[in-house]
Amino acid sequence: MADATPQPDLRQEVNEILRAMSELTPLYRQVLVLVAVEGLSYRETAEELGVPVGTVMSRLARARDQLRETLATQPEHGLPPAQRGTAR
Amino acid sequence: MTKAPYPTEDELHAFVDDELSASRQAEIASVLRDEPALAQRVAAYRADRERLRSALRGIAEEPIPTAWISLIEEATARRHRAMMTRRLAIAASVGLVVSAGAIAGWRWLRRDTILAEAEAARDGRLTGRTTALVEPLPPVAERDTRLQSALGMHVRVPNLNRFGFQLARLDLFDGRGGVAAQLEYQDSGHRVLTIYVRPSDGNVRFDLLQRDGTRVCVWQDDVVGAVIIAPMPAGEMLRIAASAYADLNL
Repeated sequence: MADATPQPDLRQEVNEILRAMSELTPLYRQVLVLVAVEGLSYRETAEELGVPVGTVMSRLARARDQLRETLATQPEHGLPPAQRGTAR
Repeated sequence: MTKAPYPTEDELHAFVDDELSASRQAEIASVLRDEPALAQRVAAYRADRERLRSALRGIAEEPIPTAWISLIEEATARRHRAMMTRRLAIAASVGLVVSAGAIAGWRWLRRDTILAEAEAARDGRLTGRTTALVEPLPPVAERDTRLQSALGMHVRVPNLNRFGFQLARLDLFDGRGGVAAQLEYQDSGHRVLTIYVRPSDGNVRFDLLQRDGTRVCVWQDDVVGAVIIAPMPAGEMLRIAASAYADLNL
């Protein structure tokens, strides 16, 4: 039978991500969980939260930015560095 | 011919999620072909997204969160039940279900405060009750806000839709034992599942119990304590408890 427990490296990464997610504001964490964990579409997320799709988009982008910034302070286990900045 | 608007940051993330209209997806793809630096950033966003999704999907699919295994071990060590610890740890790692009716004796249960509170709340015997939400329920954000405000903690109302359970009501308690909340869910078969949640009293634990035809899952970490009660098999309870644990803590 397959072992569903994550490997140690993945578990460490998961813990780092969870720790970083816990530092997000509830509004950002909420939208990230609905999209990234529960796999809802933007429209479904907007309906769940009772907000416009545009709000979901902006919160999600900021949540990912903040998550990346937090994880960047944990270089060994953070997400791969992405060039940051505004689109133009 | 009018040039397409340059993509915003929000749009770049939506592009990665394939959430834009087909025409806008095409416009942004065209911009990316002309701007390697921007394309590189979008590729990094895509990698972030997949890595995050992969990591968090691992949590959702775990039969029991790994953190719970240590709670099981700690709680069991305190009660000298090494054999049951091994059985539960094995169950956690391979997804087996252990009949847990013998985990705790009735003598111990009678001293079990959070469980006694949860059962009293479910039976309508817990004092200091006010009903905060009933159907038709407000949007998720408002539900979370009510729960967070009542408990003074950053917790979310667990979403059990994928298990067939819909939230029916939220009751709050402010009695001698402090603040607490009971979330009541129902499925299409009229089964009632309750989650009693309150700030932790510091007694870190994890237990899966069977009482008559009802399954009970109790967990408590340093921050939050919760008791889930429902008439269902242990395997179903563990899957729901794992999801509820993640929802409450994320």
